[in-house]
Amino acid sequence: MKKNKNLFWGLLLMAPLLISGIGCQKFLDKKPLTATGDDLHQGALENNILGIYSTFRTYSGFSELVWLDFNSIRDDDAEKGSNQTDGSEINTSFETFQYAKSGWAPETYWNDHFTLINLANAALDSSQTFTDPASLRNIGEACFFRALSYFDLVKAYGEVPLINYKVVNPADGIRPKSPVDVIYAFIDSNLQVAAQNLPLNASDYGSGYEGRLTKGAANTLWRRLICSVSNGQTL
Amino acid sequence: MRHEKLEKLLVSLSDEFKINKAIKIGVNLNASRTKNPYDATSVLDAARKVVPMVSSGTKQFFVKDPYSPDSLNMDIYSGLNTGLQTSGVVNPLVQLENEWNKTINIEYRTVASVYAEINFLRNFTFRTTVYADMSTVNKRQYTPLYYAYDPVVNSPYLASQTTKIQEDDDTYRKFQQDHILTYKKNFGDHNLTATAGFTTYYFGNFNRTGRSQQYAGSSALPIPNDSRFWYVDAGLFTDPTKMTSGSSQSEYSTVSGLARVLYNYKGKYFLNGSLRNDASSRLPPANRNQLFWAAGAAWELTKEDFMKDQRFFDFLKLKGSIGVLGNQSAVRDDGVTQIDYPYYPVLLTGNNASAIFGGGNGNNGNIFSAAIPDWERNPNLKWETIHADEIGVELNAFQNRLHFEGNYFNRTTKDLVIFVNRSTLGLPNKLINGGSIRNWGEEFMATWTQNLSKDLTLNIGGNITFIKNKVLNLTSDIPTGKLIRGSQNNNSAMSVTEPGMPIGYFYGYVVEGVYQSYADVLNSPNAAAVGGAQPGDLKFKDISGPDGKGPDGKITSDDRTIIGNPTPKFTYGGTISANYKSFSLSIDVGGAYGNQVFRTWGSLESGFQRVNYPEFKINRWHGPGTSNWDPILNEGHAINKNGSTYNIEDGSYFRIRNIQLGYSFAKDLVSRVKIRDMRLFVNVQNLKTWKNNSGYTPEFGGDATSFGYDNAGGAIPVVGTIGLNVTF
Repeated sequence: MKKNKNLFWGLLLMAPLLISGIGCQKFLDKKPLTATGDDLHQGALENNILGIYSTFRTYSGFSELVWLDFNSIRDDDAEKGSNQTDGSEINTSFETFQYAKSGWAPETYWNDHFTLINLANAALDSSQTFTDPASLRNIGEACFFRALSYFDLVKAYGEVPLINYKVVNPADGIRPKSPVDVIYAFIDSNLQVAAQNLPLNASDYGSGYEGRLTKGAANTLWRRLICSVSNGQTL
Repeated sequence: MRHEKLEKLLVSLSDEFKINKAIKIGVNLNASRTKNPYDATSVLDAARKVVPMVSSGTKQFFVKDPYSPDSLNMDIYSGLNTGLQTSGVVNPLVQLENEWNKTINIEYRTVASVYAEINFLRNFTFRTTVYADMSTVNKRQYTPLYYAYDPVVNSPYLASQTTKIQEDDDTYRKFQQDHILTYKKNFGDHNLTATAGFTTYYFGNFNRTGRSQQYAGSSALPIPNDSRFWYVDAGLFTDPTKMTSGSSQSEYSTVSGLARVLYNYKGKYFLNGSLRNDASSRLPPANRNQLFWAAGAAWELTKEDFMKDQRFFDFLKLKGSIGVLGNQSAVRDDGVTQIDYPYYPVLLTGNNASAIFGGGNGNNGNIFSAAIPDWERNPNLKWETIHADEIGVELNAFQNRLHFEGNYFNRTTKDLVIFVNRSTLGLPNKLINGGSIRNWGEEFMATWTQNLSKDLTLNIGGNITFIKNKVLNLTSDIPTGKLIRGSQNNNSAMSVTEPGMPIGYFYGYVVEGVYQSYADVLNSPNAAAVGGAQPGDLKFKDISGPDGKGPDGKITSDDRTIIGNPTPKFTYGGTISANYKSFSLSIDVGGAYGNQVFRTWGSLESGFQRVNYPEFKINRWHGPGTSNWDPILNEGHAINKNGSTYNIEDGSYFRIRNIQLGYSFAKDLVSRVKIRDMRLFVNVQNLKTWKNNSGYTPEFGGDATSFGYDNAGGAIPVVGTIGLNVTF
């Protein structure tokens, strides 16, 4: 009798062990309790491109003080505002041209442009087999952003490394600088693709896309490029 | 620091029943209610930044009561004027003195466990335990209306103009179950204990936040300054169109199976071995399970015949162990934020992940959300493993008055989980198994107990740990061969981890002095690449050029070198305790020696926020010959914002960690009121620290590869406690 009772208790105590043993796999499959990349199923390329627009809009290398440092404060379009001491190292770099290699603005400008280039490379890498009109437009947008980034870089730094492929292994992202001519030729070839693939009007993307890249944007940048190259020579 | 107070109420209960000779069941229950103090940690940092021209006192003004139509005399704290200081510098007293008692933060926590133990077949014991730890932190925060005055024009203004409520409910759920089968048997002189078990752990954290505020407009009623109304929906007072809510939540779980064997012969020779299989929900399914093991041996020499005749050792034991353990946690590159799902990169949301088209003329445009993962997924992520070897000795001598332990340890951490910031390559961040590091050293611990008389007992103890570390290798996922972690303005405060060097060493320029004149600048290596030098700037040493072959006559980023090591050479601690009749006194001390601290404040701060200068700037350079260490005060000179030996300070310190004086009431006295034990004590924590650095404290945390930075925070409070322990 007593032995049976012990057996009963033993089984009772074992019960949670058995239950949890069965449910183990499920117990360990924990996914985030919020959206991840796995939960999205719409057109991947369109999403990549919107990501580029988002980066272009939010990174300070394209939209904030860093961009203004290089493109407005360095020439005489604008001067640093606020008072004398507020951010006064900006003046040291961009009014008296004593750049520190590790300075905030030169570093951010470089990093942000390469971020955009890598995003465009990644998008183009995944788009190679697409031929539908929407994807071709996306290819045009990625090429435009790549051209724009290199145009900014070559103007600010001269020779820069040419990264025209998706970086999978980080070591592949380290390359010697390419001559300015090579960079200009690369920008030219990208703008050719962009001008060919981008739509004539933003409304071609659908409604609500006012201001999205068009053929006109590509052609404008293309002319600026040609004006920048010495003697207006053809590339 | 004023206004930090903690109240805690604890009820605990434990009981055990025996059902019969073989079975027993027990419960433990602890329930507590803790009223958490107002968090004033930002106050000291803000106080450091504000200029001393801003008064820390109050001034009386005749103002309108913000809560009623009446006017009255009010004592008001000083605010700031933009002509005085800009960009986020505040007088912390304005907020602290007006808001410290407007937050109600209460934690309710229940920790319970139930166990059952059954003995069968004489040598077997099976024990099952289920634990639950559930807590809820409810925080209600009210922003009142209050004034500050402008110190320049000497007039009051309403510093806080809108009453607001924020209510947070944070729920934590932790569950664990252990099922352990033990077999214990003595075969003559051979004693064997074998254990097999299974355990699971679950952690869940669910947080919800709600915010609301009063209606806009001058005629709107403020939410009253009465805790009765401090809820997100306070009826008439709160504007339903301004209510917002949010949540954050995460879970993880682990499952382990384990087996262990303990064996000893005559209580003289000990052997043990264990094996465990751990699985974690945080790792990719393919690498989720991993087997870990440990083995150990010990020899108690004092039980041997040849030790019988000696009187010196009362106890002497030699021991050694070897094993491998796993670690599954990962933190972001800020060193603090835990990554709950390393395998599932969370998508960025909101402003950082949307493209906007259209807009203009008052139209905000059309927002298209973009899918940008926070970091790149790594399907090969696996357990970080810690391979530990240890040998040691343990002994008692002098009639057990001396107890001593000495250990040599060697711990190698392999497949270190690192969150790498790859923005210098323009690539997304990634969580990787980044390499291996080795920590080794010796630990010694000794205590001495002495009965000086029948009533007085004295106990003295001390410990010291010598530790060294070295990076063994790093993976090729880190393209430059070095893991560089930068922080502060321009990432100029740098920790570098590279093979063959101490972990996270400080990297920067070596300061040779301060340029005293233009002639000095012209006669020194050209510093144009680091921002250009002028008289009064830090003069960096020309160490190397791009070819790595010694000085090249230019100061460039190639001249940076190791400038400090954040790991102490040794850390130590000590305790002295004395009991005299019913009184007891104990003093704990501790410290560290031989590490460096990287001070980022007073030098590397953002150029956009002008903060008060530290006291040592009185010795700044302000003309030839005035200083050869502290540079000129001029924010335009970017050269002085490079991390250098100017930022390095000695991190050695000694601290009185704790002093406690207690008195136990006589048993026969308290037993009359049905009390078993009653003890009164006074305790002081962190009474005094002797240190060499200029920060608030010498102790700074961080994460595995970036630590030891003094960012002007981390003040350690002196905590006084008076307590009464009563056991019924």
